[in-house]
Amino acid sequence: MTATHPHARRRSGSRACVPDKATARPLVPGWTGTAPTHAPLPACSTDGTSSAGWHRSTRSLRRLILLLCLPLAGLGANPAWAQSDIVGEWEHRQHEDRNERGAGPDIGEYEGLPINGAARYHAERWSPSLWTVPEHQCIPHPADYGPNFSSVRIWKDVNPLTQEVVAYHTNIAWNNPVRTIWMDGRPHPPANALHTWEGFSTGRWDGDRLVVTTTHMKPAYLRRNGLPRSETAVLTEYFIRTGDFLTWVSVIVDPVYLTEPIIRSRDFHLNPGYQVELYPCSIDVEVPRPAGEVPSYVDGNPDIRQYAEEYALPWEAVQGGAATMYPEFIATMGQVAPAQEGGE
Amino acid sequence: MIGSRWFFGSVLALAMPLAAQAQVIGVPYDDGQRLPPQAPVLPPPPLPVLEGSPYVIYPVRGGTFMISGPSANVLVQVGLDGVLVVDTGPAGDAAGLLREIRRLSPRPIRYILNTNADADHVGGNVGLSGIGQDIGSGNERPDGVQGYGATPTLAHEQVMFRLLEEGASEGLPTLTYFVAQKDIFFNGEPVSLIYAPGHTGGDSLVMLRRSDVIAAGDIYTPDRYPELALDKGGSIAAYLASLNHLIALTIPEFNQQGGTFVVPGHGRLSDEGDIQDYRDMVTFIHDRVKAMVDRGMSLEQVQAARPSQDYDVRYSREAGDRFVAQIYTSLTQPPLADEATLEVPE
Repeated sequence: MTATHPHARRRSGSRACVPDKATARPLVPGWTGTAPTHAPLPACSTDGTSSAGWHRSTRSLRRLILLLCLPLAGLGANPAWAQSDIVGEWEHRQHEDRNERGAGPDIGEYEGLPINGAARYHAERWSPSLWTVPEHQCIPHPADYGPNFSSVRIWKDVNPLTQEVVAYHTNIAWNNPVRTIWMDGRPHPPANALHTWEGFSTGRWDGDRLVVTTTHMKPAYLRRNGLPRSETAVLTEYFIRTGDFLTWVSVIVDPVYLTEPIIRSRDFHLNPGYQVELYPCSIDVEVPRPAGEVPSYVDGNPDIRQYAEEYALPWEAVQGGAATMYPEFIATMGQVAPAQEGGE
Repeated sequence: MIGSRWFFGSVLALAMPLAAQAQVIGVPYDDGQRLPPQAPVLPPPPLPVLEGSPYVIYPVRGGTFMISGPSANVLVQVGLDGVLVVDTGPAGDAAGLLREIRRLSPRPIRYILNTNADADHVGGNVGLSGIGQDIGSGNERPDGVQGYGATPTLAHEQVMFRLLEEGASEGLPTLTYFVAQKDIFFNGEPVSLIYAPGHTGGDSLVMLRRSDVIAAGDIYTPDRYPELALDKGGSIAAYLASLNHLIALTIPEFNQQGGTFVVPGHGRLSDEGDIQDYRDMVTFIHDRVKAMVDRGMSLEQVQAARPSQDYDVRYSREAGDRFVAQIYTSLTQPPLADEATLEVPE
């Protein structure tokens, strides 16, 4: 989207006619509506002058109309922003990457992810029973995973003296984690500051995209099947509003467990009637186990190949790694045997 | 008909007071004023770093601060009673550490608490205790006169024994304990030293109950593998028990974060969400090594299998090999005669 210059807006706003929708510059980039008018005005011609009849009116009538329109011109001269506003209730479209939604991925499902051997080793020994450990039960999705399927409310803090946006906040539905995206230019804290699930985020506008950088995230997961993400990861996000749609792009760089960035995009639809529901979480011991026990498979999950076998996928493919992200890998898949044929 | 009307009328008459009563009872609990879960209250940003200083001061909560520098972390509690310092860094950094403490309070250093006997935790005892005062004598003498020798220094008795074994003649603990816990009250809150061995045989957690802040010493060091000083009474069993004890002491506020804050011996300011990740890591590696030990594998075979490889990328391969060797030795060597045992709290 191209930014609307205030002076350009002022010039266009002084026209005593209604711009054609197809050629009008939207007040908010991506917004398909037009500004409300306070009085009926004739349609514009293509050169911006008024249509038949009006340009042949008397000079006094033109002056009268000009006087009438001046207040409208003033309204149109409000400060124009280069960015969209992302505030609102946004409902997840739930149409991308099924394996990150609902019940989640299968055990051993890593294809298309640029993980390294250490991440794979960890995930092969991970047990879903870990979620039953009291300290794991109320962990919210971290900042780099939350947008995968949860709807979100976004609101902002505005300095009333300057009208500058100090911060945006997001609140996703699942477990209600609240993020703060600082817009006031503050630096990220030193290394030993507290890390949180949502991290420390700062934002800046790049044209009409809000670019957010997040550090200081607690160690968490890349996927809900044991693939780890370290506390050194840096998350870069792009919030792109197109009318009533919001595209939320996440780029995860983790020098510990990834060899290349993971890039995900998720789409949301503006739904002013949507309410983020409370998601209270209480910690309950439902599985009695010896004190200090933390479930895992010390020798690896014996069912780690089940996913590949069930879908007759090559073992090399489901093992993941950067190579499996690229189309060229498809050409090699015919050369490797499906897992149930012993193709390790 | 009349009977039916009488019956329903009676029911209504009985029900109305009950309904009113229920409403009255319900008011305090369901008046619409309850707040939904809130984002946890997190610490404020760090103080500006002094020019040339290697230290960063992280406010934790209330009058508690974590001073983080090139060596072990220091927890400082300040208030009207004066200053309490948990661990004192290396000997050579005492002056720099004192300069940072003075940014927080001009009052006397009344207590020093040591979480273990390592040089990077007790080295500054001499430098800091020399400028402090015993709180019991603070009002009894003219200004400028020091206390009865030095600031009281509290630690587990194993800390004193070890320092004496190493030939130390100053900076020794002056108040030691040998039971499960030692309590004092300072700056308006209870302060407990809780015996939590594992790194050595003399580790303590220091819990500030009203501030809800715990100094964990080297029982929790999120920027590195644990160091099991087996020759100083450390063991993997005690270490895991102490880590789980630390988790039992911490209570998150919301979303498994906030609430009790923990100042680690080294590394970032933490809460239970971080400690649980660290505990999981130590448990996983312990369980893998133990399974190999149970199969009769040698240390060389265990190290070759690299049971810590998923965490070596976080820390280092060399540190992972060392940690695996320490676990292996701790599991296979006969326990020391006075090796600490600790029950994991329910």
